[in-house]
This record gives sequence, C-alpha cells and structure tokens, in this order.
Amino acid sequence: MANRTIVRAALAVVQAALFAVAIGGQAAAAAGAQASIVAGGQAATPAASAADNPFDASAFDAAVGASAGPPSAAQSAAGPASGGAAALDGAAIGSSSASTVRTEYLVGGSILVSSYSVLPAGLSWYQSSAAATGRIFGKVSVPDYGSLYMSYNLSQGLFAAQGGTPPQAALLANPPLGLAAPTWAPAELHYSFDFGKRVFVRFGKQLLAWGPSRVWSPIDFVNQTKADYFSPIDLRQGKPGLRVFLPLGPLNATAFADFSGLTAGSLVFDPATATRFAGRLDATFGGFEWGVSAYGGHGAQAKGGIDFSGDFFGSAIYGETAFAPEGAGSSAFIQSSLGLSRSLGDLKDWSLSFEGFYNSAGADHAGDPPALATATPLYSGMWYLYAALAATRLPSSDFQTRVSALSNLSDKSLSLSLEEDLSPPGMPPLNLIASLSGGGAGKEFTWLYGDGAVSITVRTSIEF
Amino acid sequence: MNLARRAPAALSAIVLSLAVHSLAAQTSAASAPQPGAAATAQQAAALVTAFQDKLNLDNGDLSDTFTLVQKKDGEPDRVLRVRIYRRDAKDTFTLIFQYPASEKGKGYWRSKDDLYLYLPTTREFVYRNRKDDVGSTDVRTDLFGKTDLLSQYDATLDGVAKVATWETDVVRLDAKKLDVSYPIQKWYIRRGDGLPVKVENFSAGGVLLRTSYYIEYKEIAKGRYIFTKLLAVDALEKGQKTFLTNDEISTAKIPDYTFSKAFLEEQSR
Repeated sequence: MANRTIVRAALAVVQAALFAVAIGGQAAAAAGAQASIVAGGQAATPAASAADNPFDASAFDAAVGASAGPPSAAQSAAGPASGGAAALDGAAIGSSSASTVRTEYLVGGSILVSSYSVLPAGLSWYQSSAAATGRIFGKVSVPDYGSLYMSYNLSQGLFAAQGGTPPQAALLANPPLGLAAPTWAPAELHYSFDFGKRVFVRFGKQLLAWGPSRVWSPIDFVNQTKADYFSPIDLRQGKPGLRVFLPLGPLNATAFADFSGLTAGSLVFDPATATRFAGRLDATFGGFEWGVSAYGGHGAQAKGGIDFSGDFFGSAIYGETAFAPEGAGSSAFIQSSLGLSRSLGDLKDWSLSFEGFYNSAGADHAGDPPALATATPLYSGMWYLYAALAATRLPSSDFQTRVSALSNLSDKSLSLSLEEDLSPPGMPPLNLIASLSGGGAGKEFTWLYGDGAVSITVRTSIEF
Repeated sequence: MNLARRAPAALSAIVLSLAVHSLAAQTSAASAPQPGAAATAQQAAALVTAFQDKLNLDNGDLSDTFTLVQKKDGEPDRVLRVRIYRRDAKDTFTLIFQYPASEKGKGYWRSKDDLYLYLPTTREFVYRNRKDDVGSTDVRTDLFGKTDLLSQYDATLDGVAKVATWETDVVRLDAKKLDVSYPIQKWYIRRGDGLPVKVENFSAGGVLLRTSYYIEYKEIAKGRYIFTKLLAVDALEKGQKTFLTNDEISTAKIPDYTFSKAFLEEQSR
C-alpha cells in the first residue's frame, strides 16, 4: 500500500514536472522574446534609436539624444523628454487588475553533488566517497482553496573508496551511501490556506523558521532538528502540526500545535495531553527586529526565548537566548548566541563574521567517546566560537575565498577551513573546502578521525 | 558555501544593482564640494527634491515587473524577472522573484527602514536595515520604493555636464550616515524636465563602482514618472552590463496583505 502510494506520488511529481517544464519553457521563451525586443532597439527613445545595442553604454553616452536634441519647450511642459510616448500606448497603466488569478503548479529541487575525502595525520588510512543528495518538491496553489506542498529528500551514493583501517567510530558515524539504489524520504507535506488574507494556516508536516541566528539557534526548540549552517541544502525533516500565522503590520504572531507526540508506533494518544504548543511574537522597533518565543505542553519541558537582529553602525548583529527551568526529567539550562558580520574595504569586497555560543548544560567531553557520539554536534560544549573572513574577487572575479575557524572552547578543539568558490565561465560553479581538525585527540572535532586529520570536499549544486 | 544560490544570486545582484543604480547614484570624479555656498547646497537639494517629487507616487499603488538581462563577456546572457508592489504613501514595497525558477519565491518586503529578505529554501526571514546590502548580492533595495535621498546625503552642485546631447546639472551626494547604499553619488539631472538621466556610484575612496543610464521614462500619473528602461554598467567587472526594462505597470490598488511576511511566504517555493 505504501509502495503504491509512493509510486502514485512519484507519478504525480513526474506529471507536475512535465507541466513545469512546459511552463518554464514558456517563461524562458517570454524572457527571450523580451530580450530580443530590447536588443532589437525599440525606437521609442533617443537612446534606443541611437544605439541599436542597448548594452553599448558608450553609444548612449556619446549619442543619446543626438538626433533628438535637447527637450523642446513642449516636451518640457508635458513631462520628461524621453520620447517614449508611442511606447506607452499598449501599457497597462491604470488597469483594474494587476494579475490573473489561476491555479499554479510549481516543481523544483536542489541537488548537491559532492565528494568527500578524509586523511588522518599519519596517512595510515583514508576514506573517500561521492554522493548526490537533495530535495525535490511540488506545489500546487488553487485560488480560494489554498496550496498543497510536498517535498522528498533523496540521496544516492556515487562512489566509495577506503584504504587501510579507519577507526570503527568513523565507519559508524559516516557510513557511505549505498551505490545500488537511491533512498527517498518524505520531508514535508502540508496544506496551507487563509481566512480572508488575514489569518494564515498551515496544516501538516512542516519546517518552521524560528530565530535569526546562523550557526547556533538556541531558540529553535520547535523543529525536530537544528538547521545545519554549513550545509548548502536544508535536508531536515518537517514536524507534524498546525501553524497559525497572524500578520499585524510590524507585529507578527505565530502559534504552532505540535502533533509529533500524538502517535508512537501503533499507539495513538489523547491530544489533550500529547499535543505541545509553541508561540512566537516578533516586532520591529529601534532599527531591530525583536522576538519572544515559548514552548511547552503536558509532559514537556517548558522553554522560553528572546531574540533580536538588525544593523548597528554598518554591522549586522543578531542574537538569541533560550532558557528552561528544570522539568519533565530535564535539567534547567540557558543557551545564548551572539553574532556579528561586517563588510570591509573601500569596495566592500571583504567580510568578517563572528558568532559565539554559550550553553550552560554543556561540558568538556574530551576523552569520552560515548558522550561525544551521542551529543548533538556543536551543542555539547559550554562555549563555542565561529569566525570567518571572506573575500570576493580574490584572486580574480571568478573566485571567492573564505577562511574560517570553528572551535569548541570548552575542550579546546577546533576545525580550520579554507574554502574557495569558483565560477569560471563555461563551467559549473564549484565549492572546494580543505579542513584541518586539531586541538588534541579525543575531542569534539578530533574524536572521529584523530588530531590533525585533513578533509577535502568538492561540491556543486543545481537548483531548478 | 552558497553554491546553490551563487549563480542566480550573481545575476540578481547585477539585475538589481542595475535597478539600484537608478536610485542610487553618482559622482564623477571625487571632486570636493564647491566651497561656497549654502546657496549651492540649497540649489542642489532643490534639484533632488524636484525629481523625487516626480518619481515618488504618494497617492495610490504601483505594481510593475522588471526584466533584467545581464551581459558579461564570454558568458551567455542571464535573465531575471522580479515583480514589484509599491505603496509610497506608506513607504513600503514588496519584491518577488518570478524567474528563473531557481529564484522563484525569493523576495523582499520593506516597510520604512525595515527590510525582510525571505529565503524559500530554509523558510527564513532575514531582517535587515533597508540601506544595507541585500543578502550577499550587493543589491540595494531602495531603488524600488520611495526615494528619499536628502535624509541620507548632503547634496552639493558639481557643475554641469553633457550626457549625450542633453545639458545636465550635476548633483553630488555625500553620505551623512554609514549605512547608505553608496558613500558618494553623482546624479546628472536633465535640464528641461528635471529628471535624472545618469547616475554614478562611488566608493568612499572615490572609486567608480557603477554607472546607470536612465534611457526611458513613462508618465504613470499627472506629473509622476517611472523609468521603463535602464542600463547599468559595472565599473569593477569589465564588460558586465545589465539592461533593465520595466513593464506590466499597473496603478490598481494592491491588497494590503501584499505588504506582509505572509505574502512572501505564500509565494514561496
């Protein structure tokens, strides 16, 4: 039954994809037609008539208006001397309707093709693999009914190699993807509708945006897993629930009923005791956006949080603080993150960013592999710091270079990375990352592959 | 890191920056302000106020579609299309990417000084000050909404110049604040109708970053205009130009909820 459903879903996706291809083709044709009209030089303006090629700025600078001369008194009285009156005839100015309401279909996806290799300090072994991972989605919006959205995560191993004897922990932590067949998993499926464009409802398995931070997100106690800042594609699973969103000008209110605890295997529980709730209010004032969040319910640890984001003297700053009293078998904690990013240089082609994280429940787990194996990465220590320096057009306009450091200050381990974005003409854009883990063996960044291990990642991604 | 979005982002940067140019603006060489005169500053401010009065639409709504075609030496042309919903009376606008498909659903909503960037891939709203760059694209959004240069810049007259065959007054703008689109701009304002025909954007050090040419305007209400064709030339990336056309212009009333986070999310992929 489940297989049949998946097959039907796949067929629907394929049908929708074919439809989207057709629509996309029309859009491309329209865009191309528009471009050709432009390139053809509508003789509507002195500029266009003087320069057949609208991209010829020198022609514009030298000749625009040459044939027309300065605006006449009549033109001046009537308005701008664009000479474009004839071109206005077919314009939609003053039309009563800005767009036609119709059913819309949209299919797309993001696919990441990457290879990853790791070598320990002594080069006594190596692991290498390549895979395609990504997300495919379909969305249909029907006027007055709402929209249905569905997405699937997919992964397919493309290559795997190994030499020597890697540590058992490394094999368990990062098993290579199978090469035989792709794996699929539903990520989101929800139905969205609204009440008079005033109250917006989303029902189903969904991801929620919750907080402004980038590397660490303490107040995101709503989604099943924290977002991975270092992954180019968001492959998290949604959470089943009902979200109600109420925009009130500069104030926005979000309420979420979390249904993830309503079932466990074949068991079904009473919603009165198994549903958990989250709420968020955000508003802007003083040049910043401020947010307040809360989460709780029967048998759940109550949690609260505050966050802010904005610009301060030319720098983007943001922060979150989450807190929870002891309850539901969990200890009290406070988690807080603070980040800053700023563009540098006369041409703003350098950027510097920092983010720090404090976790009162964190600890130094150095030398305790079982604890490290079960801990959430980047949340097990008490103090963390991330810093990055990036440069565009370095060494040339087709490159972007970034160096970064990510450290668990509690156990003093770290990961240093050199990253290069390449986008040379005629080639797919590539992202190359070389990372070095250090700070001593048996710590957060070294317990898997050892102190001094080097990893190399090469990847490209396609969005459609 | 942003591999997936980089190519489209570059396009959008170009495209939007082209548009931006229209709003942003200029400085031909970083010449020092004319010593002189408060009167000169007043004249310059009057010129800026005059063209802003013609470009801002204080009564009613405006929606239009910008198509940007980016040309870069050795690369195929890139096309980007964005839909703009604008309500100057409330100093707000919403921008939605329509094409290409990989960018569809991305959008911005600005309300006065507050700017929200919506990223469909992660469902995130990123809050920014409106005068900051948009994402990593080096695109400034103030082009698309109400123009209020004098609140951000000091204006001085910088002589006269000929753009094509038009005589223009040159107004130099020097930023009063840190968080502006460009530290220095020069606007070339055509005599006769008082509309800008060329804008140059400079870095704080006087490096020319971009030049925009307003090729065509359209009258959308009595005495109110919107540009319909614009050419932006990137001074840093040689051979990179973006041609921007503006069509599907409508002054029909826009539903209030269009200016909200909910609308951006509704358009999401």
